[in-house]
Amino acid sequence: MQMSSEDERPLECSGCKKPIKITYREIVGNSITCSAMCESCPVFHEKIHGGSSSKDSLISWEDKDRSVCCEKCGTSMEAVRMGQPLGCIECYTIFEDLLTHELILADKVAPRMKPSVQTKKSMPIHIGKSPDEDKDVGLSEKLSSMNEALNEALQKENYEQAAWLRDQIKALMEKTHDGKDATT
Amino acid sequence: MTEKTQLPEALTNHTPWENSETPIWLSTHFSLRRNYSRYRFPQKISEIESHQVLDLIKNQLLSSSFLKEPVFLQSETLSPTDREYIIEHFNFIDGFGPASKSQGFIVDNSRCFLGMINMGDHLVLQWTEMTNDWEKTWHTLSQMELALGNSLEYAYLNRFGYLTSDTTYCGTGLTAQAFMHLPAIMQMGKAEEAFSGEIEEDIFPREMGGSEGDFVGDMIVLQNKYALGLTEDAILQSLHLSASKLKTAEETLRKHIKETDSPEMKDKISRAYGLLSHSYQLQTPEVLSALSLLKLGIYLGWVTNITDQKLNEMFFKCRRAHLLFTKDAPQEEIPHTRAEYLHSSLKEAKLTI
Repeated sequence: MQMSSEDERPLECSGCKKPIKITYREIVGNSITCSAMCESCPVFHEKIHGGSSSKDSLISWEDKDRSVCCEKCGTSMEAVRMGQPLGCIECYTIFEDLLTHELILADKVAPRMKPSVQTKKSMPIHIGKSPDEDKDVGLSEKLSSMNEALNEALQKENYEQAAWLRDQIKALMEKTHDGKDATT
Repeated sequence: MTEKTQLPEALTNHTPWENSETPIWLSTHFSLRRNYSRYRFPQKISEIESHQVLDLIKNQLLSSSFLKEPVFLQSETLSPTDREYIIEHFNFIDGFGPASKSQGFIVDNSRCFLGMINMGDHLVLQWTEMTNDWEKTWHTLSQMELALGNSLEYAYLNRFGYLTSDTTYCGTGLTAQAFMHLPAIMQMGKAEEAFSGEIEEDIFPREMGGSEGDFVGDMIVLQNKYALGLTEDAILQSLHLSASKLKTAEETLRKHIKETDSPEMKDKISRAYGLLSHSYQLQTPEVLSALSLLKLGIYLGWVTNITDQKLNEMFFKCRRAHLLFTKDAPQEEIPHTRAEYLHSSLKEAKLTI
């Protein structure tokens, strides 16, 4: 898609730092308006889906925008929506739902973990190593999360994904047992 | 250089791929991003706290047993040429952003390690592997990261993993990149086929520089798409598999070119040789493209009296900051200085076609 350097972001997105991926051209009668948007632009989704539930979720984020800020660093929800960098560890807790939503929308979560993340909000998305690996902190949660994803993959008959998850679970358990054997 | 450099000689006297024995898969980079939970991330941290973070990390890295004679470089006091030199040497595609007082780099005599402090995140550790022993390198980097986490707790949550200021990198905080030289695939128009057929779904090809889709110098960087929702081992295995498959595809095509004695390819290589040997002015993208063809020419036996390693060295030394280290020149004379450097470097090289 050709990107015109003159296309501007919608007014609502003037602070957005995300790269331009979409040119939106609206023709009404003889008038043509062009806008440049990022791939997760809420204005774009609103234009495409009109009065659907995605607009409801857009409204619910917008309503919260003006009041929710991180107490520790002052990062606002609007800044997070615009893709600006986060300010501290607390931001991840305060904006947990929004961040999960944005990460999935921006395709920044490995597809094999997406289903369990979307259905069970309390489940960890991260399944890699942790600072306290030798103490198995969070290991049971990681395994739960991966088992959730495995069950969903089997229900959907996505056997390739299920096999991959099975191998990851096995590798994680072997690594844990090796670690325990080394310390005993 | 008339302005004295702060960069150590180990870095300025050598280029990364000068001893490479692997002409296709040139190097692998591993980067780990970390923040400390006690402090706000660099965009929001106070000046006092950012200096505390700088001192903490600097002291630990300078006394690290994993590094060989490490040196600290304060970002703000580095000249623009020095900063650009670091970007070129370490192939740091995404750049650093503007310098501030509490930012710094740590490099060492191995020329493979780059530590960045308070640039986006409190700590970014990057290690370059050039001998294909990437498992050992990854293990070393992991051990170093573990040691740095002993003194102060990393920012970590079970749900999102290691926390970074840019959520793109949260989770493992790992960026793994394989630098591949694929002239046969690119010049024969097989890129789309190769990328869709050989690259795993959680890896993507990107450019070293320039605009999107513009694979300058036929250099493709394979990088993990996801830092979150995969284990570190899974990321590295995918990268290794994708790079290995692309390497095989490239070798197969090179063999085909040699067997068919392709006149089109001979023409391209001849033109590249002519461009580099006789042009009065040269810009970096055209030089890298031409060097890529000469490297292919060496592999096919059509260019002699020069080694692949020498061309690897030229790949870096033709870039602006590297050029300015050998000869101080005003901005408008750099293209000519570049051309002169290439003429003298290719003096002995011969085209046998």
